[in-house]
Amino acid sequence: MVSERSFYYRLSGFDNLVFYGIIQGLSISEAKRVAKELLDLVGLSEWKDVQYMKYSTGMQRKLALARALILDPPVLLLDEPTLGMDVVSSRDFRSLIKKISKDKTVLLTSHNMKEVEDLADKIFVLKRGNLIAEGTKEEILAKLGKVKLVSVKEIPKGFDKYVVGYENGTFLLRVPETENVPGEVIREERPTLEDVFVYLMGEEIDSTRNRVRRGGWRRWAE
Amino acid sequence: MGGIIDKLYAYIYLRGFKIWSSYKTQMILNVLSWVLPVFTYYFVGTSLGGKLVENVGVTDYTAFIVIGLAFQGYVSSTITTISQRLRNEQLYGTIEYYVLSSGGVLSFLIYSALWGFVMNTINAVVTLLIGLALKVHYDVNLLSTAIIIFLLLLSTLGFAMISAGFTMIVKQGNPIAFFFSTFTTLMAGTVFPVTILPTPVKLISLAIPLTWALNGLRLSMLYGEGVMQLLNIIGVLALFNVILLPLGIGFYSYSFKRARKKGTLSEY
Repeated sequence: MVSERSFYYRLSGFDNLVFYGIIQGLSISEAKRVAKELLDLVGLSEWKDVQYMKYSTGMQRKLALARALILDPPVLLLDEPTLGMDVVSSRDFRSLIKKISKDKTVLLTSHNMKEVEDLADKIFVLKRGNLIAEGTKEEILAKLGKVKLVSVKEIPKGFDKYVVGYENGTFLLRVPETENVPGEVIREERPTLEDVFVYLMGEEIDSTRNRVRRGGWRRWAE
Repeated sequence: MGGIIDKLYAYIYLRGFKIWSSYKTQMILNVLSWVLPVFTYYFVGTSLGGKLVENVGVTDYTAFIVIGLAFQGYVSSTITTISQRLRNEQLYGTIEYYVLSSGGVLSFLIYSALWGFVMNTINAVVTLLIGLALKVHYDVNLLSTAIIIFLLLLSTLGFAMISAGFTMIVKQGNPIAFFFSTFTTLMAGTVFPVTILPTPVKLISLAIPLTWALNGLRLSMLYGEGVMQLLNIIGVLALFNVILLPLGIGFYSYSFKRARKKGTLSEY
Protein backbone atom coordinates (compact mmCIF):
# COMPACT_ATOMS: atom_id res chain seq x y z
CA MET A 1 0.00 0.00 0.00
CA VAL A 2 1.58 3.24 -1.14
CA SER A 3 0.99 6.17 1.22
CA GLU A 4 -2.23 8.16 1.15
CA ARG A 5 -0.26 11.22 0.02
CA SER A 6 -0.04 9.71 -3.46
CA PHE A 7 -3.54 10.61 -4.67
CA TYR A 8 -4.85 13.45 -6.79
CA TYR A 9 -6.45 15.84 -4.33
CA ARG A 10 -8.80 17.45 -6.86
CA LEU A 11 -10.24 14.15 -8.09
CA SER A 12 -12.94 12.20 -6.29
CA GLY A 13 -12.15 8.92 -4.56
CA PHE A 14 -13.89 7.06 -7.38
CA ASP A 15 -11.98 8.89 -10.13
CA ASN A 16 -8.72 8.27 -8.32
CA LEU A 17 -9.38 4.54 -8.18
CA VAL A 18 -10.45 4.45 -11.83
CA PHE A 19 -7.30 6.35 -12.81
CA TYR A 20 -5.00 4.00 -10.92
CA GLY A 21 -6.93 0.98 -12.19
CA ILE A 22 -6.27 2.03 -15.78
CA ILE A 23 -2.62 2.79 -15.01
CA GLN A 24 -2.33 -0.76 -13.72
CA GLY A 25 -3.64 -2.13 -17.00
CA LEU A 26 -7.43 -2.35 -16.59
CA SER A 27 -9.85 -1.10 -19.23
CA ILE A 28 -12.12 1.85 -18.43
CA SER A 29 -15.15 -0.37 -17.77
CA GLU A 30 -13.15 -2.86 -15.67
CA ALA A 31 -11.59 -0.04 -13.70
CA LYS A 32 -15.00 1.50 -12.97
CA ARG A 33 -16.44 -1.84 -11.88
CA VAL A 34 -13.47 -2.63 -9.63
CA ALA A 35 -13.49 0.90 -8.19
CA LYS A 36 -17.15 0.58 -7.26
CA GLU A 37 -16.62 -2.84 -5.63
CA LEU A 38 -13.61 -1.68 -3.67
CA LEU A 39 -15.34 1.47 -2.45
CA ASP A 40 -18.12 -0.78 -1.18
CA LEU A 41 -15.59 -3.06 0.50
CA VAL A 42 -13.81 -0.27 2.38
CA GLY A 43 -17.05 1.55 3.19
CA LEU A 44 -16.53 4.68 1.09
CA SER A 45 -19.38 4.28 -1.42
CA GLU A 46 -21.29 7.14 0.13
CA TRP A 47 -18.34 9.49 -0.46
CA LYS A 48 -17.26 8.18 -3.85
CA ASP A 49 -17.91 11.48 -5.65
CA VAL A 50 -16.35 13.66 -2.97
CA GLN A 51 -12.96 15.17 -3.80
CA TYR A 52 -10.10 13.32 -2.15
CA MET A 53 -8.87 16.48 -0.42
CA LYS A 54 -12.07 16.51 1.63
CA TYR A 55 -11.50 13.00 2.99
CA SER A 56 -10.46 12.49 6.63
CA THR A 57 -7.18 10.68 7.37
CA GLY A 58 -9.08 7.45 8.00
CA MET A 59 -10.93 7.72 4.70
CA GLN A 60 -7.70 8.48 2.87
CA ARG A 61 -6.12 5.35 4.32
CA LYS A 62 -9.13 3.30 3.30
CA LEU A 63 -8.84 4.60 -0.23
CA ALA A 64 -5.13 3.74 -0.24
CA LEU A 65 -6.06 0.24 0.90
CA ALA A 66 -8.69 0.01 -1.85
CA ARG A 67 -6.10 1.05 -4.42
CA ALA A 68 -3.70 -1.62 -3.17
CA LEU A 69 -6.44 -4.18 -3.85
CA ILE A 70 -7.16 -3.15 -7.44
CA LEU A 71 -5.37 -6.12 -8.98
CA ASP A 72 -6.49 -8.45 -6.18
CA PRO A 73 -2.95 -9.31 -5.06
CA PRO A 74 -2.44 -12.44 -2.93
CA VAL A 75 -0.12 -10.55 -0.57
CA LEU A 76 -0.61 -7.07 0.89
CA LEU A 77 2.19 -5.00 2.38
CA LEU A 78 0.93 -2.45 4.89
CA ASP A 79 3.41 -0.05 6.42
CA GLU A 80 2.10 1.40 9.68
CA PRO A 81 -1.42 1.66 8.26
CA THR A 82 -3.05 3.30 11.28
CA LEU A 83 -0.32 5.82 12.02
CA GLY A 84 -1.83 9.20 12.91
CA MET A 85 -5.42 7.94 12.99
CA ASP A 86 -7.84 8.59 15.85
CA VAL A 87 -8.94 5.71 18.08
CA VAL A 88 -12.26 5.03 16.38
CA SER A 89 -10.84 5.25 12.86
CA SER A 90 -7.92 2.98 13.66
CA ARG A 91 -10.25 0.41 15.24
CA ASP A 92 -12.43 0.59 12.15
CA PHE A 93 -9.39 0.23 9.91
CA ARG A 94 -8.10 -2.76 11.88
CA SER A 95 -11.40 -4.55 11.44
CA LEU A 96 -11.16 -3.86 7.71
CA ILE A 97 -7.68 -5.42 7.65
CA LYS A 98 -9.04 -8.44 9.53
CA LYS A 99 -11.78 -8.81 6.93
CA ILE A 100 -9.33 -8.62 4.05
CA SER A 101 -6.81 -10.96 5.69
CA LYS A 102 -9.33 -13.82 5.60
CA ASP A 103 -8.32 -14.62 2.02
CA LYS A 104 -5.00 -12.77 1.71
CA THR A 105 -1.62 -12.76 3.35
CA VAL A 106 -1.10 -9.38 4.99
CA LEU A 107 2.42 -8.35 5.90
CA LEU A 108 2.04 -5.41 8.24
CA THR A 109 4.75 -3.31 9.85
CA SER A 110 3.90 -1.42 13.00
CA HIS A 111 5.34 0.18 16.08
CA ASN A 112 1.94 -0.06 17.70
CA MET A 113 2.07 -3.26 19.73
CA LYS A 114 -1.66 -3.15 20.46
CA GLU A 115 -2.24 -3.28 16.72
CA VAL A 116 0.18 -6.18 16.35
CA GLU A 117 -1.54 -8.08 19.18
CA ASP A 118 -4.91 -7.47 17.54
CA LEU A 119 -3.99 -8.44 14.02
CA ALA A 120 -0.98 -10.71 13.79
CA ASP A 121 -1.05 -14.48 13.43
CA LYS A 122 2.70 -14.48 13.28
CA ILE A 123 5.11 -11.81 14.50
CA PHE A 124 8.59 -10.95 13.24
CA VAL A 125 10.75 -8.56 15.26
CA LEU A 126 13.42 -6.71 13.29
CA LYS A 127 16.36 -4.82 14.67
CA ARG A 128 18.48 -2.87 12.21
CA GLY A 129 17.19 -5.03 9.39
CA ASN A 130 17.97 -8.28 11.17
CA LEU A 131 15.36 -10.74 12.33
CA ILE A 132 15.78 -11.13 16.09
CA ALA A 133 12.57 -12.96 16.99
CA GLU A 134 9.65 -14.65 15.28
CA GLY A 135 6.64 -16.67 16.29
CA THR A 136 3.04 -16.48 17.36
CA LYS A 137 2.05 -13.93 19.96
CA GLU A 138 2.33 -16.59 22.73
CA GLU A 139 5.76 -17.70 21.55
CA ILE A 140 7.03 -14.13 21.51
CA LEU A 141 5.61 -13.40 24.96
CA ALA A 142 7.24 -16.55 26.31
CA LYS A 143 10.66 -15.05 25.54
CA LEU A 144 10.28 -12.74 28.49
CA GLY A 145 8.63 -14.92 31.13
CA LYS A 146 7.07 -12.46 33.56
CA VAL A 147 7.56 -8.76 34.19
CA LYS A 148 7.61 -7.06 37.55
CA LEU A 149 6.35 -3.60 38.34
CA VAL A 150 9.05 -1.93 40.43
CA SER A 151 9.00 1.38 42.25
CA VAL A 152 12.39 3.19 42.50
CA LYS A 153 13.58 6.58 43.77
CA GLU A 154 16.18 6.92 41.02
CA ILE A 155 16.33 5.23 37.63
CA PRO A 156 19.31 2.85 37.53
CA LYS A 157 21.69 3.35 34.60
CA GLY A 158 20.48 1.61 31.45
CA PHE A 159 16.93 1.23 32.72
CA ASP A 160 15.38 4.36 31.13
CA LYS A 161 13.56 2.26 28.58
CA TYR A 162 11.58 0.41 31.26
CA VAL A 163 10.05 3.55 32.82
CA VAL A 164 6.24 3.54 32.55
CA GLY A 165 5.22 6.17 35.10
CA TYR A 166 6.08 8.59 37.87
CA GLU A 167 4.01 9.08 41.03
CA ASN A 168 4.60 10.33 44.58
CA GLY A 169 8.29 10.99 43.94
CA THR A 170 9.05 7.50 42.62
CA PHE A 171 9.48 6.05 39.18
CA LEU A 172 7.53 3.00 38.06
CA LEU A 173 9.44 0.49 35.95
CA ARG A 174 8.21 -2.61 34.11
CA VAL A 175 11.26 -4.85 34.02
CA PRO A 176 11.79 -8.49 33.06
CA GLU A 177 11.74 -10.76 36.11
CA THR A 178 15.35 -11.74 35.39
CA GLU A 179 16.62 -8.16 35.86
CA ASN A 180 17.89 -7.12 39.29
CA VAL A 181 16.59 -3.66 40.15
CA PRO A 182 17.09 -2.11 43.60
CA GLY A 183 13.54 -1.05 44.49
CA GLU A 184 10.18 -2.16 45.78
CA VAL A 185 8.48 -4.84 43.67
CA ILE A 186 4.79 -3.92 43.57
CA ARG A 187 3.55 -6.95 41.63
CA GLU A 188 4.37 -9.43 38.88
CA GLU A 189 2.38 -9.54 35.65
CA ARG A 190 2.15 -11.34 32.33
CA PRO A 191 4.21 -9.38 29.81
CA THR A 192 2.67 -7.51 26.91
CA LEU A 193 4.18 -7.39 23.42
CA GLU A 194 5.36 -3.90 24.24
CA ASP A 195 7.40 -5.29 27.17
CA VAL A 196 8.97 -7.90 24.92
CA PHE A 197 9.70 -5.32 22.22
CA VAL A 198 11.45 -2.99 24.68
CA TYR A 199 13.44 -5.89 26.06
CA LEU A 200 14.47 -7.21 22.65
CA MET A 201 15.45 -3.82 21.28
CA GLY A 202 17.87 -3.26 24.18
CA GLU A 203 20.21 -0.32 23.60
CA GLU A 204 18.69 0.33 20.17
CA ILE A 205 15.87 2.39 21.62
CA ASP A 206 18.27 4.85 23.27
CA SER A 207 20.64 5.15 20.34
CA THR A 208 17.80 5.76 17.87
CA ARG A 209 17.30 9.20 19.36
CA ASN A 210 20.75 10.20 18.22
CA ARG A 211 20.47 9.04 14.65
CA VAL A 212 19.71 11.33 11.74
CA ARG A 213 18.52 10.58 8.26
CA ARG A 214 20.97 11.45 5.53
CA GLY A 215 20.63 10.94 1.77
CA GLY A 216 18.39 8.09 0.65
CA TRP A 217 16.10 6.02 2.80
CA ARG A 218 18.70 3.30 3.20
CA ARG A 219 21.46 5.52 4.44
CA TRP A 220 21.67 6.31 8.11
CA ALA A 221 24.38 8.01 10.05
CA GLU A 222 25.13 7.53 13.71
CA MET B 1 -6.99 -5.34 -20.50
CA GLY B 2 -6.59 -1.62 -21.01
CA GLY B 3 -5.22 -0.17 -24.21
CA ILE B 4 -4.25 3.23 -25.53
CA ILE B 5 -7.81 4.62 -25.43
CA ASP B 6 -8.09 3.68 -21.76
CA LYS B 7 -4.76 5.34 -20.98
CA LEU B 8 -5.83 8.45 -22.87
CA TYR B 9 -9.04 8.54 -20.83
CA ALA B 10 -7.01 8.29 -17.61
CA TYR B 11 -4.26 10.76 -18.46
CA ILE B 12 -6.07 13.27 -20.63
CA TYR B 13 -9.62 13.25 -19.29
CA LEU B 14 -9.23 12.32 -15.62
CA ARG B 15 -5.80 13.61 -14.69
CA GLY B 16 -5.62 16.32 -17.31
CA PHE B 17 -8.99 17.88 -18.02
CA LYS B 18 -10.78 17.12 -14.75
CA ILE B 19 -8.01 18.51 -12.57
CA TRP B 20 -7.36 21.47 -14.90
CA SER B 21 -11.04 22.41 -15.03
CA SER B 22 -11.36 22.15 -11.24
CA TYR B 23 -9.18 25.28 -11.00
CA LYS B 24 -11.63 27.77 -12.52
CA THR B 25 -9.44 30.86 -12.28
CA GLN B 26 -6.48 29.09 -13.85
CA MET B 27 -8.74 27.86 -16.63
CA ILE B 28 -9.85 31.40 -17.46
CA LEU B 29 -6.28 32.70 -17.30
CA ASN B 30 -5.11 29.90 -19.60
CA VAL B 31 -7.70 30.81 -22.20
CA LEU B 32 -6.75 34.48 -21.92
CA SER B 33 -3.08 33.57 -22.34
CA TRP B 34 -3.95 31.95 -25.68
CA VAL B 35 -5.82 34.97 -26.94
CA LEU B 36 -4.15 38.11 -25.59
CA PRO B 37 -0.57 37.74 -26.95
CA VAL B 38 -1.88 37.68 -30.54
CA PHE B 39 -3.63 41.01 -30.08
CA THR B 40 -0.65 42.49 -28.23
CA TYR B 41 1.73 41.60 -31.03
CA TYR B 42 -0.87 42.57 -33.61
CA PHE B 43 -1.14 46.12 -32.29
CA VAL B 44 2.60 46.50 -31.72
CA GLY B 45 3.39 44.81 -34.99
CA THR B 46 1.11 46.82 -37.21
CA SER B 47 2.80 50.05 -36.12
CA LEU B 48 6.41 48.88 -35.67
CA GLY B 49 6.88 45.33 -36.88
CA GLY B 50 5.57 45.87 -40.40
CA LYS B 51 8.53 47.97 -41.42
CA LEU B 52 10.97 45.77 -39.52
CA VAL B 53 9.97 42.58 -41.27
CA GLU B 54 9.61 44.23 -44.66
CA ASN B 55 13.36 44.77 -44.62
CA VAL B 56 13.94 41.03 -44.34
CA GLY B 57 11.37 40.01 -46.91
CA VAL B 58 8.29 39.33 -44.74
CA THR B 59 5.28 41.02 -46.23
CA ASP B 60 2.56 40.27 -43.69
CA TYR B 61 3.67 40.71 -40.06
CA THR B 62 0.36 39.52 -38.60
CA ALA B 63 0.64 36.25 -40.50
CA PHE B 64 4.24 35.98 -39.32
CA ILE B 65 3.42 36.33 -35.61
CA VAL B 66 0.27 34.20 -35.78
CA ILE B 67 2.27 31.19 -37.01
CA GLY B 68 5.04 31.99 -34.52
CA LEU B 69 2.76 32.24 -31.51
CA ALA B 70 0.62 29.25 -32.49
CA PHE B 71 3.55 26.84 -32.62
CA GLN B 72 6.03 28.38 -30.19
CA GLY B 73 3.59 27.39 -27.44
CA TYR B 74 3.85 23.77 -28.53
CA VAL B 75 7.47 23.67 -27.55
CA SER B 76 7.80 25.89 -24.49
CA SER B 77 4.50 24.87 -22.87
CA THR B 78 4.93 21.18 -23.54
CA ILE B 79 8.39 21.17 -22.05
CA THR B 80 7.38 23.21 -19.02
CA THR B 81 4.16 21.17 -18.67
CA ILE B 82 6.12 17.95 -18.49
CA SER B 83 8.66 19.31 -16.02
CA GLN B 84 5.86 20.79 -13.96
CA ARG B 85 3.93 17.53 -14.16
CA LEU B 86 6.90 15.55 -12.94
CA ARG B 87 7.47 18.06 -10.17
CA ASN B 88 3.82 17.84 -9.13
CA GLU B 89 4.04 14.07 -9.05
CA GLN B 90 7.05 14.37 -6.76
CA LEU B 91 5.11 16.71 -4.51
CA TYR B 92 1.96 14.59 -4.48
CA GLY B 93 4.00 11.42 -3.93
CA THR B 94 2.34 9.85 -6.97
CA ILE B 95 5.64 9.32 -8.81
CA GLU B 96 6.29 6.21 -6.70
CA TYR B 97 3.05 4.77 -7.96
CA TYR B 98 4.06 5.17 -11.59
CA VAL B 99 7.24 3.29 -10.80
CA LEU B 100 5.15 0.40 -9.54
CA SER B 101 2.63 0.46 -12.40
CA SER B 102 2.88 -1.76 -15.47
CA GLY B 103 3.58 1.09 -17.90
CA GLY B 104 6.43 2.50 -15.82
CA VAL B 105 7.60 6.08 -15.83
CA LEU B 106 8.38 6.28 -19.55
CA SER B 107 4.74 5.60 -20.33
CA PHE B 108 3.83 8.18 -17.68
CA LEU B 109 6.05 10.74 -19.37
CA ILE B 110 4.72 10.13 -22.87
CA TYR B 111 1.08 10.28 -21.79
CA SER B 112 1.82 13.39 -19.73
CA ALA B 113 3.30 14.96 -22.86
CA LEU B 114 0.02 14.23 -24.64
CA TRP B 115 -1.88 16.47 -22.25
CA GLY B 116 0.57 19.26 -23.09
CA PHE B 117 0.04 18.55 -26.79
CA VAL B 118 -3.74 18.64 -26.41
CA MET B 119 -3.65 21.97 -24.56
CA ASN B 120 -1.28 23.46 -27.09
CA THR B 121 -3.23 22.18 -30.06
CA ILE B 122 -6.23 24.05 -28.69
CA ASN B 123 -3.95 27.05 -28.18
CA ALA B 124 -2.65 26.76 -31.75
CA VAL B 125 -6.15 26.42 -33.24
CA VAL B 126 -7.40 29.44 -31.26
CA THR B 127 -4.37 31.48 -32.34
CA LEU B 128 -4.79 30.50 -35.99
CA LEU B 129 -8.51 31.36 -35.86
CA ILE B 130 -7.70 34.77 -34.39
CA GLY B 131 -5.27 35.17 -37.27
CA LEU B 132 -8.10 34.36 -39.66
CA ALA B 133 -10.23 37.04 -38.00
CA LEU B 134 -7.32 39.46 -38.42
CA LYS B 135 -7.40 38.75 -42.17
CA VAL B 136 -4.42 36.42 -42.36
CA HIS B 137 -4.62 34.50 -45.61
CA TYR B 138 -3.71 30.82 -45.20
CA ASP B 139 -2.65 28.65 -48.11
CA VAL B 140 -2.04 25.38 -46.31
CA ASN B 141 -0.25 22.37 -47.74
CA LEU B 142 -1.60 19.73 -45.35
CA LEU B 143 1.04 17.07 -45.93
CA SER B 144 4.12 19.24 -45.46
CA THR B 145 2.47 21.02 -42.50
CA ALA B 146 1.60 17.71 -40.84
CA ILE B 147 5.14 16.37 -41.36
CA ILE B 148 6.76 19.49 -39.92
CA ILE B 149 4.42 19.54 -36.90
CA PHE B 150 5.06 15.83 -36.30
CA LEU B 151 8.83 16.31 -36.44
CA LEU B 152 8.56 19.36 -34.19
CA LEU B 153 6.57 17.36 -31.65
CA LEU B 154 9.12 14.55 -31.68
CA SER B 155 12.00 16.93 -31.08
CA THR B 156 9.95 18.59 -28.34
CA LEU B 157 9.52 15.20 -26.72
CA GLY B 158 13.30 14.76 -26.82
CA PHE B 159 13.82 18.11 -25.10
CA ALA B 160 10.99 17.35 -22.68
CA MET B 161 12.69 14.14 -21.60
CA ILE B 162 15.98 15.95 -21.03
CA SER B 163 14.05 18.56 -19.09
CA ALA B 164 12.28 15.86 -17.05
CA GLY B 165 15.66 14.29 -16.35
CA PHE B 166 16.85 17.57 -14.87
CA THR B 167 13.71 17.83 -12.74
CA MET B 168 14.35 14.32 -11.47
CA ILE B 169 17.85 15.30 -10.35
CA VAL B 170 17.74 18.96 -9.34
CA LYS B 171 14.00 19.07 -8.39
CA GLN B 172 13.75 22.84 -8.92
CA GLY B 173 15.68 25.23 -11.16
CA ASN B 174 15.37 23.33 -14.43
CA PRO B 175 17.66 24.98 -17.05
CA ILE B 176 15.95 23.42 -20.09
CA ALA B 177 12.46 24.54 -19.08
CA PHE B 178 13.87 27.97 -18.21
CA PHE B 179 15.55 28.29 -21.61
CA PHE B 180 12.46 27.31 -23.56
CA SER B 181 10.04 29.39 -21.54
CA THR B 182 12.12 32.56 -21.78
CA PHE B 183 14.43 32.56 -24.79
CA THR B 184 12.52 30.81 -27.56
CA THR B 185 10.35 33.85 -28.23
CA LEU B 186 13.51 35.86 -28.67
CA MET B 187 15.70 33.36 -30.49
CA ALA B 188 13.52 31.02 -32.52
CA GLY B 189 11.92 33.55 -34.82
CA THR B 190 8.58 33.59 -33.04
CA VAL B 191 7.72 37.29 -33.25
CA PHE B 192 10.51 38.57 -35.51
CA PRO B 193 12.78 36.93 -38.09
CA VAL B 194 16.05 35.45 -36.81
CA THR B 195 17.89 37.16 -39.68
CA ILE B 196 17.91 40.43 -37.72
CA LEU B 197 19.68 38.83 -34.73
CA PRO B 198 23.44 39.36 -34.15
CA THR B 199 25.45 36.55 -35.75
CA PRO B 200 26.40 34.64 -32.54
CA VAL B 201 22.75 34.61 -31.38
CA LYS B 202 21.63 33.70 -34.88
CA LEU B 203 23.91 30.66 -34.77
CA ILE B 204 22.33 29.57 -31.48
CA SER B 205 18.88 30.03 -32.97
CA LEU B 206 19.80 27.67 -35.81
CA ALA B 207 20.53 24.99 -33.23
CA ILE B 208 16.88 25.12 -32.06
CA PRO B 209 14.44 22.87 -33.98
CA LEU B 210 11.64 25.41 -33.48
CA THR B 211 13.48 27.99 -35.61
CA TRP B 212 13.48 25.58 -38.56
CA ALA B 213 9.95 24.37 -37.88
CA LEU B 214 8.51 27.90 -37.77
CA ASN B 215 10.29 28.75 -40.96
CA GLY B 216 8.87 25.65 -42.61
CA LEU B 217 5.38 26.14 -41.19
CA ARG B 218 5.22 29.71 -42.50
CA LEU B 219 6.09 28.44 -45.95
CA SER B 220 3.72 25.46 -45.80
CA MET B 221 0.77 27.28 -44.19
CA LEU B 222 1.01 30.71 -45.79
CA TYR B 223 2.48 29.91 -49.20
CA GLY B 224 1.34 26.31 -49.66
CA GLU B 225 4.84 24.93 -50.21
CA GLY B 226 4.98 21.14 -50.45
CA VAL B 227 7.29 18.43 -49.14
CA MET B 228 9.71 18.63 -52.05
CA GLN B 229 10.15 22.39 -51.67
CA LEU B 230 10.69 22.04 -47.92
CA LEU B 231 12.91 18.98 -48.09
CA ASN B 232 15.91 20.78 -46.59
CA ILE B 233 13.91 21.94 -43.55
CA ILE B 234 12.32 18.51 -43.11
CA GLY B 235 15.78 16.94 -43.37
CA VAL B 236 17.22 19.23 -40.69
CA LEU B 237 14.28 18.54 -38.37
CA ALA B 238 14.67 14.79 -38.91
CA LEU B 239 18.36 15.15 -38.03
CA PHE B 240 17.44 16.96 -34.81
CA ASN B 241 15.17 14.04 -33.90
CA VAL B 242 17.85 11.46 -34.59
CA ILE B 243 19.99 13.27 -32.02
CA LEU B 244 17.41 14.52 -29.52
CA LEU B 245 15.19 11.47 -29.06
CA PRO B 246 17.91 8.96 -28.07
CA LEU B 247 19.58 11.69 -26.01
CA GLY B 248 16.30 12.46 -24.24
CA ILE B 249 15.46 8.81 -23.56
CA GLY B 250 19.03 8.11 -22.43
CA PHE B 251 19.26 11.09 -20.09
CA TYR B 252 15.82 10.53 -18.63
CA SER B 253 16.52 6.82 -18.00
CA TYR B 254 19.85 7.71 -16.41
CA SER B 255 18.38 10.37 -14.11
CA PHE B 256 15.47 8.15 -13.19
CA LYS B 257 17.74 5.24 -12.30
CA ARG B 258 19.98 7.63 -10.37
CA ALA B 259 17.06 9.01 -8.35
CA ARG B 260 15.74 5.53 -7.71
CA LYS B 261 19.13 4.24 -6.57
CA LYS B 262 19.64 7.21 -4.25
CA GLY B 263 16.10 6.88 -2.94
CA THR B 264 15.25 10.46 -3.92
CA LEU B 265 12.32 9.75 -6.27
CA SER B 266 9.72 11.35 -4.08
CA GLU B 267 11.97 13.99 -2.55
CA TYR B 268 11.15 17.51 -3.64
